[in-house]
Formats: sequence, C-alpha cells, structure tokens
Amino acid sequence: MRRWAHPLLLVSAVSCAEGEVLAPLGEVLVTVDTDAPVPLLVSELRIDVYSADGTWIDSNKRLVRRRESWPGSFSIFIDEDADERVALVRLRAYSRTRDYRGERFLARPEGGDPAAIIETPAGDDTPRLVIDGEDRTPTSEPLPELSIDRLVRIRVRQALRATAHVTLHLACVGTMVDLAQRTSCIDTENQRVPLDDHPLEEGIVIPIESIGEGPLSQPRACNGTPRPGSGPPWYDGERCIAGGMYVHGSDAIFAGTEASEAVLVNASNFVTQLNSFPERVAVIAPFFMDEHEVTVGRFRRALIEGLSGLENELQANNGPLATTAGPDQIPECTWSALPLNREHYPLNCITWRGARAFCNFYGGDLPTEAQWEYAASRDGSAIKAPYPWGSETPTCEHAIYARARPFNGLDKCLHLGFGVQPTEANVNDVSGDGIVGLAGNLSEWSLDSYRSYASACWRAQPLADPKCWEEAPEVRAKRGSSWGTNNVGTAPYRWGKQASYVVSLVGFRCVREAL
Amino acid sequence: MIARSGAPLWLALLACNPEAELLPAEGHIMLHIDTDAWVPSSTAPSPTEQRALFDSLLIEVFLPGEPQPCPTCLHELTLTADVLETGGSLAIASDGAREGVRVRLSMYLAAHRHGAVIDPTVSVQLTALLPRFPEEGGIPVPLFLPTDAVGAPIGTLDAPIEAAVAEPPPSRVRTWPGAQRLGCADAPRPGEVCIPGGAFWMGNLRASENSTDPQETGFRLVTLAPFFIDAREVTVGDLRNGPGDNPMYIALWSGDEGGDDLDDWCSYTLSATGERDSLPMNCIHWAGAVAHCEGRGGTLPSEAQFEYVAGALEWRDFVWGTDIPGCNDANWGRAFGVNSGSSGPKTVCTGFLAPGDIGGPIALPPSPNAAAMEAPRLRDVLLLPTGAVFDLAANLGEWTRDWFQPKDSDCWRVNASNLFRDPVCELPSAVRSFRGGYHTGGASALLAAERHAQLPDTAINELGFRCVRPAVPAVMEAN
Repeated sequence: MRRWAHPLLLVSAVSCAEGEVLAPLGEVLVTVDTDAPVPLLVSELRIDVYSADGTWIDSNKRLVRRRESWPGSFSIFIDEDADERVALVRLRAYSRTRDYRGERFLARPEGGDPAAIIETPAGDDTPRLVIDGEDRTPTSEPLPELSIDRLVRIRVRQALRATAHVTLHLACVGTMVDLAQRTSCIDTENQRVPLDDHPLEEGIVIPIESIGEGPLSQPRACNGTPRPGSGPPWYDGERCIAGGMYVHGSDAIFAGTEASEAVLVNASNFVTQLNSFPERVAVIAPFFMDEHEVTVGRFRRALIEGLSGLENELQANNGPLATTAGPDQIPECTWSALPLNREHYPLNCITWRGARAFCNFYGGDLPTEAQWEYAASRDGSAIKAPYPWGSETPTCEHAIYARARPFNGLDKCLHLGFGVQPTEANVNDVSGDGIVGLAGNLSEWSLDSYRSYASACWRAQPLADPKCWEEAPEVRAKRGSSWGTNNVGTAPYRWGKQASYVVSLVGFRCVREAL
Repeated sequence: MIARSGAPLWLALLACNPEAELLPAEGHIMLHIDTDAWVPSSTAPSPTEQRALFDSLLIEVFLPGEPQPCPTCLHELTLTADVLETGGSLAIASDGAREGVRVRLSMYLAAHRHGAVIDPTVSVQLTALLPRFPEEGGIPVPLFLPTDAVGAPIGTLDAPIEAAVAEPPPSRVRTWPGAQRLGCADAPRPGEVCIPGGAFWMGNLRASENSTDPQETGFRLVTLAPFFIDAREVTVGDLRNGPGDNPMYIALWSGDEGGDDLDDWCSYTLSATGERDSLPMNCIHWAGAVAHCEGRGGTLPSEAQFEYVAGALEWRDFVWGTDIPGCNDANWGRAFGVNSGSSGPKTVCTGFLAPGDIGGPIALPPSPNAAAMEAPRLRDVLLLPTGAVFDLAANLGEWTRDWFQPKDSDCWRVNASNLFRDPVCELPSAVRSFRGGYHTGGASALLAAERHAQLPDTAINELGFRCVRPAVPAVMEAN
C-alpha cells in the first residue's frame, strides 16, 4: 500500500499492519495529541503536506472522535531518489467543515471599522492539489474559527527512522496558519511563531498516553456567593453560572444577508436579523446571573435606594395591563408611576441605557451575548442544549411566547393569556442552573453592540469572554424570545433593537462578576 | 476486545504507536465491509459526477449482553472507494468472549453529523451477530451495507442478523443504481436543459423548517429520473404565444409603476408590448401555470426536482455554493412601497434600486451570457455541460407540482426507509408549495432547500413558474 509517485509519502498507521515491514527508507513517524475536548470540539484530524517550496502534495483526514484515539500517529516517507527532503505539514484538529474556499488565511483584525464585514469569498484562484496530473483538491475545508491549526517542518533523511511529536493546543483554536509567512500558533492565542523559531525535535520519546483536556476547557466555579433572593415581588436572587468553554453561535441559524452592503436598519426602522454564524469558541469566566428578569417592584425599590436620572428611559402605563392586542403599546407596559398590582411582573418598556443603569447601580452589568447564550444553553448536560430546558421542542407549556395578535401564529398560545405574564408564570422555562424565563416572556437586552459575527468587531475578539462593544451604536443586541414571537428561538438566535427604544417585548436581567 | 486494522490498510488512526504489536496471535475475525453506496473516490469528482452520499463508517463492537460498545471497540473510518475496491478489512480479536459478540455498522455522511449524535434516519445501519471466534488464526466475515436501507436499520442489538463465514465477494462500491447520473436520451426542445438523473440529500439545516426542530436533521435521500427543465422562468411572451393563456388565472399589470398598488409589479398586459413580453410571468394562479406546462407536454417541477437543480445537483446551500447572498448576486430583498409590508429582511437590498425603480421581476436578455452574468443576478445561474439554468435562487418564486405538507406529514415522513424515488406530494392541503427566492424576499428564501407555501388561487407578484418535461433516460451499460 505505498504510492511512489511523490518524493514524500504519507502513509497511515503503517507499523500496525500485519506483515508489512518497513523498507529501509527514510521515515518520520509523527504523533499528534491535543488538549482540546474530544469529540465536543475535535473529532477529525486533517493532514496536509507541502513540499519545501510550498507546493501542496497531499491531503488526508482521520476521524478521531475518542480520547483513546489520541495521541495518533502517521508516517512520512522519502523516496529512493533523494538523500534528504523537507516537508511542511499542516495539522488541523476540528470537527466541522465547510465547502472548500481556498484555505485562505484570515488574521484577527485590529482597529478599523467595527461594522465592516470580513469576508473570504471563494474564487477561482484557490490553491489546487494535483496528484499524478489529477485534481484531488478536497471538496471541504475545516471551519477556521473552530480549528486548531498548526504548521510544522519535517525533515526526512534516507535510511533514518525518526520520530516527532506535536501537540495541538486549544489556545490556538481560531488562529489560522499563515502558509505564506510560514507561521503558526504553538500554544498562545493569536500568536504566530515562525517555523524556524520552533523546530521540532527528532528522536524524542513518543508519549503513549494523551495529555487529556487542558485547563481552558475545564469548568470554573464561582468565587463568592450569589445574592439570595428576597422573594416576590422583587425576585432578585442570583445563581452561579460556572465558567467553561463552549461553541458560541450556530451554523444552522441563517437569518439573511450579511454582505457588507446590506443595511442593518431599514427605512421603516426595522432591524435586520443577523446570522448566528460563523461560530467561535468562547471561554466564559464564571459569573452570577439574575434568576429572573428584573421586576417592576425591584426597579421601584432601586429608585427608592437612589437610582435616578432615568425619567426618559422608561415608559409608564398608569392604566390596566392590556388583555388583548391594541394599536398602542403603552397598555402593554408593566411599569406604573405608582404601584399597581403588577409589581411582580417583569419590567419592560425600558431603554438599553435605563436597563444598564439599573444593573450598574447594583455593581453588575447587562449580560453579554456570549454570557446569555452560554447560560441559556446549559440544561445540565455536557452538550450545548438548544433550549434552557434541553432539546424538547417548545410547546405553549415550555415558555411564554405567541401571546400576541392573531397573525402568522403570533397567537398560538393566546388561549393562556395575552401579553407579558407575571414572573411566577414561568414554570417550565428553567435552565439547568435554575435561571428562569430565558426562553420566553420578555426578550432581554444584551450589553453588546448588534453586529454580524463576520464583522471586524467580533473577529477581533479573544477566546475569553468575547463581546462586541461600541460606545454608542444605534442598535444593541437583545436575546431570547418573548410573548410577541411566534416561536421560541434556540439559544443562539440573535435579535437587535435600537438602543433608545422602549418596547413592550423587551426587558432585561443583570449579571455580576464571580471571578 | 481489540479492533485493529489489517491489510490492506484502513486509513484510520487506531491505537497505533511504535510500541503497538502486530495482529494478535489469538483467533480473530476479519470483517470485510462492503457497500453499493456512492462513497468518495480517490480522485476529485468532475463537475457532473454524483457527489458522495456517504463518506464515514462507525464500527461498534458489543460484548454478549452489553447494550454499549466495549471501551476500545468503537472506530470511525473515512470511506473511500479505493479502500473498498481493494478489499478493506478490519480485524476483531477477542480477549475473552468467543460467542455472542455483535457488531454494529453505521454508514453516514460526515456533514450530517452535528455533534456526537448520528441521526439514524440518514444512516445505513446494520447490526450483526458474529460467528464464533476461532481458537487461532483468522476467519473472514463479509458484511454488506445496502444504500436502499437508509433510515431502515438492518437487525438490532436484540435481534441482530447472523453473519456467516465466507470469502468476501468483489466490491460493489458505487454500483447503487439510484446514484448513477443518467443523461437524457432524447433532445431538449428550445429553451430546455437536460437535468441528468441522480441522487441527492434533500433538506438543509439552515432552512427554516429544519432549524426549528433540533431533534431531526430532516434530510431525505432522493433519487430522480432525468428530466428537462426550462432554462428561464416562463415569460409573458411565452404565455401569450403558448398554451394556457387564460386571463381567468392572471392579475394584470396596473398600467403604472407608482408602487402604490400590488398590481404595479404584475407583468402581464392584455395587448402585446415588446418590452413587457420579455418579463417573467407572475401574478398567475397555480392552475394557470399548470395549464401552460401541460399544454407544452410537461408539468410543473416537483419540490424535489426544483431543489435538486437549485442546489446544483449536489445539495448546495445556494445555486452558487455556500457564500451568503450579496445584493447583486440575485434579484432579492428589493421590496418597495406597498410591496414591502412591515417586515425588514425584504428591504435589505432596496438601496440597490435606481431612483424611480420600484423593483420587481426582471427580464433576462434574449441570449444571456452564463459565463459573464450581470448585476443584479451576478451568480444566479447554474452552468451545466448540458446548458445554463437562470434565476433559480431568486427573481421570482416558482410554483411546484406538490401540495405543501410539513416534513412530518405522510408525504415526507420516514417510513419504511428514508429513500424517496421521484417524490411528489399528492396529499391535498390548503396550499401549494413554491420554491426559490423572489424580488421582495429575504436571503434565507434563496436557500435551495427553503420551502414556501401559497394558496393556489392567488396571483401574487412574487410568484412565477417554469416547466419540466420527463426525459427518456439515457441507456446505461451495467458495469
């Protein structure tokens, strides 16, 4: 099972094969290990071989979905014609691919317009892998944002059997190899090291046991204690959201265009929904999160305790709460100048600035999109859940949604009552951490500026607690479905709203550091 | 229980390191796995070649009475035709149990695996009871994975089929008839393009119907006979000069382009005008579209046929591939005036309209250059060796022959298997399906797999049609 067409041959697991004795040719046995979670983040290894001048000469992939399969090995051979050959070997650990777009290098942007979409359009000038005159370019390539990408130089000498060992570090996920510059990430996020500065040792002892998962993907407990709740109508308790690594976003949620020419806010002031991809790896620090959406009573108490200056950030409804859809949203607002019987309702009709001021007043902040999505997809299992309660498809009993006007299914659950519901009505909308009302009732303001994940703002973000921050964007992100949506979006769904708007579908909750 | 690779070599990373021993001296079973499935070849597919329907294999070995595979008994391999053709095999050695060992094979497409779970409806799965392990030496056990069994597991852990000792027959890889790209034996009429028959995965995780239900990937394996399809959407002139020109089914152009009346965007006029006759026909009932196509000896495309073509015969996201649609890639997102309603995505590209232009379906030049398309349909073309097909992604949505039924209806549910041959949903509902994006639609409507529904007796300016006609399948020689 050897091919002789090329000076460097890539053969898999040769030493295992029955009866195959290696010819006395030059060979380097390369073992590869990773500290990334298997198979959550890494389930395949892609091996691309380039000759010293950069010509692509081979491509191969292996399924390695079990921790026991690491470290794995492969051999690189030399033919009989040469005393010595040098190969560049690109190793990528990943689990997901996209159609081949040319493997083009994508650096993390610095500065520039945060709204600019950084695209990598496919073109005809993409590199091709040609073997024996046949085009054997793989039809897919690993998703760069979710791949650990490493370039090594392997020197094969005639009649010598050498070994080399490579570890693919989770810290390097999303930091692409720069083939032109011959640099790649060794073990520090967003730092590419020239090949010559990091030569591989030959002849080292090859480890048999995998190093296992590294610290980046380990859960991290909260430091400090969450604030205990003081009960209804305040519902002000906190829960700890343990830190950890997860994949932020969803490749499946395609909302529309994100071409750079597209408008975010159209002439009717409608905010275009953004895609939930490209996905990225996020390492979330532990934090405390409000168990419930901030209630009317809790906000009123804050005013008594000294929160001020928010007169223009909040819409009061001094009449009764609407029981049916009407032309005006004021009757759908829960806040009232004097306490009515709605103090236990979540607060809506507040601007982003008003919501953030409340959180800041108590030493916290609005959750970032990543914090919110992380919290909303923790159902208690190890795998990212689509809904706070797990993977069950939502019904009217799971969460408060579709309680609006009879149009396009917006009234699917109207038989259970119109509009926003009191906090205690969220019986089943509970995450594994005990966070209530993430999926429905009110949509919730996020801290972030509402930008495409393909924008410079997001592309520039590190692994740790990524967020797109702009000082005063027109539109802020909000997360979660509400009484006014026709369905419950999965945790990665994204929406935006003008930061200055007061909307009866939007409320908020706060988070606090727990480092 | 240890599974190791035998000769010839599987391209897989097994527990292999310099210290690893060779095959054990104790008795072992050599599994010879084969399939008729269309798996990747070692060479890149030509543009017209069937894309691989399966490319991965999961092998699990279960000890007697165990419901879970033993810890080192789970292997996933990349399937390629050349490995199967050279008689790929896998050795299973027993370090204890000699009888009652079961093996489960699951063949699937890696792109269908989201996370750790393999959806059984898109897999070919076989569970077999292995013969008694020999005391020493190896015995051959062939196992065959038939594509026809997709979504219909063969054997279960409780009732496995019995695998027998036999010399492995020659590989049948890539012989499944459904995946043979069959051309058209008869000639297309003017304006038609031959679409070779073949197999594809219908459905897309990004389509709205699939993304709302995380439980099921929603893919269906579909085979289609070859057919002819109109290269362009049927125009006003086509209808006026062809069959089915019945005003009963048509809403007429209002006569102005002010954007204050939905009929401002309708194409059809009662008296011929050279200019409007080249516009694609819209504002026509489903029955009107059918009448025209049947008068030409054809019919409307089925949902499956449309998705096959709009996905470039290989289930692409969009006709051009995976790039997110840009405003000039196709005619979409240009809602204007009363056409825009209240929804935002419809107006994403309205800024691309020239002053005074209210949007709407646009005409193709009489002889469009498929190799050098122009805005606003830079990429809305499928170029096949048999010809070019235009405006599949957008311009107008297009009526299909099917009643609209959800994926869990009798029409589309996975029953005996997940294999659908030339499917058409004939189960009546209130609405007919239409496919493809349209000038006032959002980008997600451009997905080849996105499904839409409309009352059949409505004449709306977003909706037109094209026709298909069955082809005589080209003669194929058995190999």
